[in-house]
Amino acid sequence: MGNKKIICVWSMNIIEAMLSLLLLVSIVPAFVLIDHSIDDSVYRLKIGEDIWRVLYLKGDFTGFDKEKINSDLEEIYKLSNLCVAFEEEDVASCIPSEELIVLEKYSIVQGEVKKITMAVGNQ
Amino acid sequence: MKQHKGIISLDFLFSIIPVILMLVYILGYSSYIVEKSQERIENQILFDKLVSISDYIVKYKGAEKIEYSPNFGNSKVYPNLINNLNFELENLKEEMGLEKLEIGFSKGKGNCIYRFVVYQWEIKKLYVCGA
Repeated sequence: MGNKKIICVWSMNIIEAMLSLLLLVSIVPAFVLIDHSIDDSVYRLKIGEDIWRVLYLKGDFTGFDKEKINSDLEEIYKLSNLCVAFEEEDVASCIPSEELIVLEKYSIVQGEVKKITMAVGNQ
Repeated sequence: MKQHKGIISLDFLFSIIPVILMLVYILGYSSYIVEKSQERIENQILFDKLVSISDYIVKYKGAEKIEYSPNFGNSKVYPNLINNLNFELENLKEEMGLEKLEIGFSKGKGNCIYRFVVYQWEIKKLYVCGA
């Protein structure tokens, strides 16, 4: 009888311990899983490419007219609240505090091919 | 002997209550996790579909095209330069398995994403909305 009681108590303790461990193990990845928002990395890249393409279509890179680029970047800011900055050329609608996309592009600036880092982000 | 059995039952009872509580909690929590992750996957799939559709519209379907001509050579497509948005969406909607699909320069119903395009030489936001 004593042995049966010990076995019963022990087995209950083991079940409790196993369930506690299961609970602990299930909670940790659950928080990681729930905190995950939508993966929009490809979309952000496409938005960056869109901005560059739109400026190109507007003819802003013909002669690299900074005033024209600035005015179109302002237009993009009005439409979307996105700040766009060309780091090497000191052209920006506003300085992005939280960078969402950074793209390296090449353009002809004053007759020379130059690398331009385009940063897009929220103000 | 009877008293002894009673002690075992009480001990068993006090041990089984936390086990049952934990089991109920684990089951409830796991169903919540499954539900949340399913919701997240569905949202991700919808978002990816909208991104793909927007890419197709911006880069081909709605883009300015110059058909082949002896003077200009091969046909050309100008991505992001939108000239026409009056095309049939029903096939696209069915193929993508969406209930609703709206494309335009103003926000539609459902989840929306936008792309920057040039329309009539102005920068515009092209919305792709679906559910």
